[in-house]
Amino acid sequence: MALVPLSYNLRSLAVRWSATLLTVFGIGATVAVLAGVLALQQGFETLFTESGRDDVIVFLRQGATNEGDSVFSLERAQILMKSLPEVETPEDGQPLIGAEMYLAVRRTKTDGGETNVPIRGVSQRSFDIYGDGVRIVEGRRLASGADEVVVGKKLVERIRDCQVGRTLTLNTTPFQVVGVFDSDGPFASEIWGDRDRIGEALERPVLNRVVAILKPGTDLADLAARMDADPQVPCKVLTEKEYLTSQTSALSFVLRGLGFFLALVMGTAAVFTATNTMLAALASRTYEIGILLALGYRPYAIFLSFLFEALVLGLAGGAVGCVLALPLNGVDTGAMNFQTFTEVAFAFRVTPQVMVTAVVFALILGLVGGTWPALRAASMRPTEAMRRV
Amino acid sequence: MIPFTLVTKNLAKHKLRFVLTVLSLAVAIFLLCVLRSLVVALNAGVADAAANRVIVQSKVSLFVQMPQSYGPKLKLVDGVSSLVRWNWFGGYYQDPSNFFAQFATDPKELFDVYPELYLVDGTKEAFLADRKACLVGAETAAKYGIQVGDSFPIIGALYPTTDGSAWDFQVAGIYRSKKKSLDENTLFFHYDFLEKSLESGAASGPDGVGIFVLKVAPGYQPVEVMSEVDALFENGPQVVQATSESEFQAQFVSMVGNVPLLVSSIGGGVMIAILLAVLNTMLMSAREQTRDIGVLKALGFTDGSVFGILILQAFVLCGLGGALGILLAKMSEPGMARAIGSMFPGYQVTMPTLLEAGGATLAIGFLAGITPALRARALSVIDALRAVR
Amino acid sequence: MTANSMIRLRGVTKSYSRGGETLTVLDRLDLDMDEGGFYALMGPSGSGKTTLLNLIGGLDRCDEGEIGIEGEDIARMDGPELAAWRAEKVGFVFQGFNLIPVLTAQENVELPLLLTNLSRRERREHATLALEMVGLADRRGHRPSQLSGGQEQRVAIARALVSDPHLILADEPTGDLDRKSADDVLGLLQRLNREFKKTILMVTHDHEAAQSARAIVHMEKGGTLGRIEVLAAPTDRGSARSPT
Repeated sequence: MALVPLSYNLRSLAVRWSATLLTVFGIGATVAVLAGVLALQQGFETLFTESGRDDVIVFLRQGATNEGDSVFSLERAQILMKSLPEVETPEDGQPLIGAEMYLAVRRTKTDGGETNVPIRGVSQRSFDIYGDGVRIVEGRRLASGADEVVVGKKLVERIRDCQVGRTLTLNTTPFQVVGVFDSDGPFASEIWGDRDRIGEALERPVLNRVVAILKPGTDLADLAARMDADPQVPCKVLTEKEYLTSQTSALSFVLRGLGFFLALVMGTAAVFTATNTMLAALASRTYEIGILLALGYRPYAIFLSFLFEALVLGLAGGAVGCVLALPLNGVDTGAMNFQTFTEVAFAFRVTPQVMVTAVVFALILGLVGGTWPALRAASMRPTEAMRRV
Repeated sequence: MIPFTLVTKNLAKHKLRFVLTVLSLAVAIFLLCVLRSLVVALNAGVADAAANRVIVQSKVSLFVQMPQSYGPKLKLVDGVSSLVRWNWFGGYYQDPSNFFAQFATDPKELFDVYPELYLVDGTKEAFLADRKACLVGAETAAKYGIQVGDSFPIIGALYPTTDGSAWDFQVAGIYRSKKKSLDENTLFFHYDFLEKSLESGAASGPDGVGIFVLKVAPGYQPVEVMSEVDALFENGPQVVQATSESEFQAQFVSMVGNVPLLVSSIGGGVMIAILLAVLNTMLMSAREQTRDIGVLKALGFTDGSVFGILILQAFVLCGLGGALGILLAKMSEPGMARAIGSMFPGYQVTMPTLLEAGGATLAIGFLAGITPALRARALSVIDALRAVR
Repeated sequence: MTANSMIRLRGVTKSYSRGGETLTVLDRLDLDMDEGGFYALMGPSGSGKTTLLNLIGGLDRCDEGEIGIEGEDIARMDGPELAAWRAEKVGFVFQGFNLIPVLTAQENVELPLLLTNLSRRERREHATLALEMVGLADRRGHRPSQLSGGQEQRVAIARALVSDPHLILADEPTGDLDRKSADDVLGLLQRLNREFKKTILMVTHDHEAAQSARAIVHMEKGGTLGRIEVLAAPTDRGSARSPT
């Protein structure tokens, strides 16, 4: 069966170049907005999920969904840490397990606004456990028992007093900033200090979570079941990766919802535009369609021809949208982690997945927008089409 | 002189194109209203904050409680006529996704300090009489189908009960607020109930007071009360921060991060997309009218008249779309408020939002109409008459 | 200049530049036409017939010379003056009819009256009258696409005469019409000339159509005037009262 040469469509698009351009950019803007929101969501999610480790195990109080909710008294934390024979013990004889304190503290941004920055009270064990996950990039590590803190790299520019040599006051106690550390995950938006000193300064003699590395071959499911039913300190056991993934659900849900809502609403508008453009194409090519039909081309060939043209519009729009969204890649931004009500810094990530979604979305816009005009074109009778000039 | 029939009939000539353009505009303006309303909701508390209320909170962190002993001391500060304690309860109804705010508070003083609070169902007396009684915001009550006399079981994530059961609150009243300083999604219950449950060991969780709200007596300067309060606890044990209510609300807005920026970026994208769509339609329509413009000029219509005909078409088109969008935004207001009320309490499509949407509509009409209108104005009669229809 | 001179052209020159080359369409043209005349303007392609018509109608501007219409030199008018002048003094009939497709016959005819001070009712009455004159009162609600070519052109004539101009300019009014319709249109123009004393200038390349006029002005290639042929007995196209 004969199909209408595709070059007809390309020429038709070129002839009506202003309508073509406006439609392509209209779809492009729609796609770019969607891609931007998705890139935001990807950036946020990647930060949490890809940095999480499977071999680091997190213990939270039963029922808690995040460190902020999870509370262990000092005694209970000690009991918990001693009840775990599964914990890996290196040659120095000290088990790889550490309790951490966590609190979102008020800090002033460099631009003057107020924000919540997580502060983590740690022991030296935490550094051993995270290993390369936490790297000092400026200054030095904090000394045990001293009124010192190290700050995450993402805070240096954003938060006041987060530079080496400055002094951070927590409640009434001044802490010296002695180093800056980097991390691929959300740690890079945190302040770390000595657990006991921070707890004392904040008048907060509690701990929020316990982290550990287990001996190889330990069955995590067994451990989780045992700790869940533990008569003394029942707790929730999960890997760091699982924990961090669970932290993204609220914001990811919001951003996905926003993306979906925008895609639906803006997509509707874009479909209408595409339909308009294709109807104009139909009007100016009525005579040509009449001739094609008279020559013996089948209606479905006309239908496919118009649909193809709409798909080209969609594809071009998708490409424009990706090009518009691409400069966002790597741009730093901050967003609220709703679970802990703290702000985390991360970069937009225009991943291949985002681009594919954007282009598919654009193609769908073209397809939906082109269907009705294509149907109309295909349902013309040759005599009628040729008369209508 | 502008022949108005020509304006309307030219628009109506391509009915489908006209309807599609109006609908996409409506959709875009609707989206703009919704986005703007989110920002308004975010700032609603700031705008409606009372001048005679002082908020006292920990200077260290939003999540740190102040000792109970602060209450009696604050009451003695010169100019404080009454005081309400608030404590974040952080529970949920049935499932963690059913999230809304619950506060333990002082029932009697609540009505004194917050005169904007009123009951639409139930009585104040019933609320005061029963220690397990609670007040529920009208929006939340509607969302979960809660009525006066019902029991409202809330699972305490932050304050788990020892036996693992839900907290059993008795609904004594449904409230609304005359101002946006209080949202209509919250549950209030007796502070004593929480305190007694913690003392008896029936539940566990952080002890202390989240915030104190002070009512400043007439004739006293809130600023003086603030500085006196700040000085009172300057040396701990918990340093406090006394602020006006509007500043307190503004802090929350700041903490949520760059939502306004995100929202305006999306709004900008929407506007660009829709502008291109309307411009496309206007250019198509103007091109078809080229010859008519020549005829009108030959008949003696001035360049100004044909300019007017073209730009009026854009304005009529946009006016219809914009009006429809605004109508849609206003009509969807209750539904939207219910759907996202827990995250954006006080979602409201306000007059300034509508005016802004109207302004955006006119701007789009102008930008989309000006190019074809100027072209029509500059067109020579001879060239225009030579144009193919 | 005679007292009853309707159109008085002196030294009218018009040239176009095309691809760097200057093309003189009208070269220092002098021409007088009497009030109440019916002139056919003939000549080969490129002799500047349509350009001349456009200049007289104030649709185009000459490079040099005077264009006196009823004693006014329209070559000196600016855009808005010219527009107002056209609205009051000239009626146009085009080859392609040039009705506004979205408007009904009635609305098309009313269009020039929007530029007058007439009330809405007066406009409607005048337009109805004009449509009656061309025999299309019963088609007033039809849009151009619902009319035949001859009918369209008669609506266009109604539009040209509705504001009661002294001068009617027609550019190949019968060019797109069959013989029968063309005769109707020419008969109408003759009637306007005889009964209503309109001065008519009609560009045509059709000798038969030109015979309807009272005089034929011949243009030469290069934009100069040829002979003026006065027709002693123009072909009478009869009354247009009951066409088709």
